[in-house]
Amino acid sequence: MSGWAILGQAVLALVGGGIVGLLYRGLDRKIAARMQARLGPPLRQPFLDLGKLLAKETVIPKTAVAWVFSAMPFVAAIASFTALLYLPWGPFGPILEGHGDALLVLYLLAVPALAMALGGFASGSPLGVVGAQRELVMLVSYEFPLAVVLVALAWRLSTLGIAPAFSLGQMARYPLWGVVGPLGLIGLVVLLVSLLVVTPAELAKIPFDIPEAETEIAGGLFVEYSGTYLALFYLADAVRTVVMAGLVVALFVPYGIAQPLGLAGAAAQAVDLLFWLAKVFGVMAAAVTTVRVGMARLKVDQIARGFWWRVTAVALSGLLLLALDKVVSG
Amino acid sequence: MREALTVLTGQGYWSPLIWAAAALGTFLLAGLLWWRGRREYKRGTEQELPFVSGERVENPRVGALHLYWGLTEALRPLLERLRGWHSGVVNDYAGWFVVVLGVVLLLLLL
Repeated sequence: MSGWAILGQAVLALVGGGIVGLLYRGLDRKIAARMQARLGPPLRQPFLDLGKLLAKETVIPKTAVAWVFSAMPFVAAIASFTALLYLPWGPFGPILEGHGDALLVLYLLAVPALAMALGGFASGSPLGVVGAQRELVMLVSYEFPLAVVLVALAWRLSTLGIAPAFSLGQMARYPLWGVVGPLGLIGLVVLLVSLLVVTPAELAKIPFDIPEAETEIAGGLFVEYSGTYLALFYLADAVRTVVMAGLVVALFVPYGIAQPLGLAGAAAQAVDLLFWLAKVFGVMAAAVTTVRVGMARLKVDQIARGFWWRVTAVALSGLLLLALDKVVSG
Repeated sequence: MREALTVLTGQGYWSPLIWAAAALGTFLLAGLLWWRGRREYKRGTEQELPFVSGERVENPRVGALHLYWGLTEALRPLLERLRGWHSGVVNDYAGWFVVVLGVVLLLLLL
C-alpha cells in the first residue's frame, strides 16, 4: 500500500474515530436517560458540548505548573487517537499493521490516564490532586488483569503456531472460540468477563469514576480544566471508549456477517464495517451504559481490593483454564 | 531498513518512528482544534484562583504522603506481611536471595 493511501486511511480513521466516539457518548446518554424514564439529550449533544467548550475561556490557574497543565490534554488526545491506527476496523486490518501490536495499544490506553493524573497534579488544586491520586491507584489496579487477559490469548495463539501472537490483526483473524476444548471455552468466557469488568474502569465510568466524582470532589482531576483543554480531554475520552470497545471486539468477537449472507466485494466490506460498529456500540452499552445506570460509585480502596484480588484471580483462572485445556486436548 | 527501525519482542513488535510520525499528525489535528478554540482569559483576576468549594485557602496543597492510600489500604495484609520480613538483618536478606535464586534456577531447569 502506498504512503498516500495509508495517510488517507489514517485521516479517515482519526476523524471517523472521533465522530463514532462522540456519537456513542450521545447514545450512552440517551440510553441511560431512557433506562431512568427520562427523555435525555439529543444524540448530537456531545458535538454541541464540544463546540461549546471551544467557545469557552481556557483558564490556567495561578497555582498550576503551566506547561505540564497545558501539555497533558494534547498528550491524552495524541495517545487516544494514535491507538485507533493499530486497531482492526471490522473487515479492515489495522492501518499500521506490522508497526505496533496489542501491547502497544495497551500502553496507549494507559497514557491518557497518566496524562489526566499529571494534569490534575499540575493544576495545583487540592481537588485535582485528590482526583489524580485516585486515577493512579485505579491505573495500577486494573492494568494487571487487563495484561493477564491479553497474555493468555496471545499465549494460546502462539501454541497454535500463529505468529506474531501479539498482533491484533492476527488475534482478530484467528478467534480462539472454535479451536479450544470445553475447558478452553470456559476459560475464554472467564477472560471475557474480566475484560468487561476492566472496561468501565479503564474509561473511569461509574462505578469506577472516583477520579472525577463530581458530587464529591467537583470533577477531581478536571476541576481546573476549561475551554479548549477540557475539549481535548473530552474528545480523547470519547475516542478511548471506541479503542477499548474495539479491543474487546477484536479479541473476542471479531466475526463478520457478510460471508454468511453471501455478500462479496465492497458490499461485504460495508456490511461488515457496519456490523463492527454495531458490535462496538454493543460492547459499550453492555460494559459501560447499563453498568453506570445500575450501580453506585465505589470507594478507592474497594476498587483497588476488587481488582487486585478478585478480578485478577478471575483473569488468572481464565488463563489457567486455557492452559489446562491445552494440556488435556493437546 | 524498516525492520531495523522496529523493536521486536519475540511475539510482538512496534516501530517507534512510525508511531512518532502518527503522533505528529495527530498533534497537528489537536493543534488545529486548539487554534479554533478560545484561548484567552482574564489574567490577574479571581478566575485564576483554584476552585476550593468557595473557601479562602492560603496554600491549597495536598501532601504526597498518602499518594497510594487506596492501594496500600487494599493490600494491607500483604504489605504488613512483607514489612514483617524486613528484619533489617543482612543475613536474612542474603538468605532470601539464595532461596529465590534456587527457585528461579529450578524453574529454568524444568
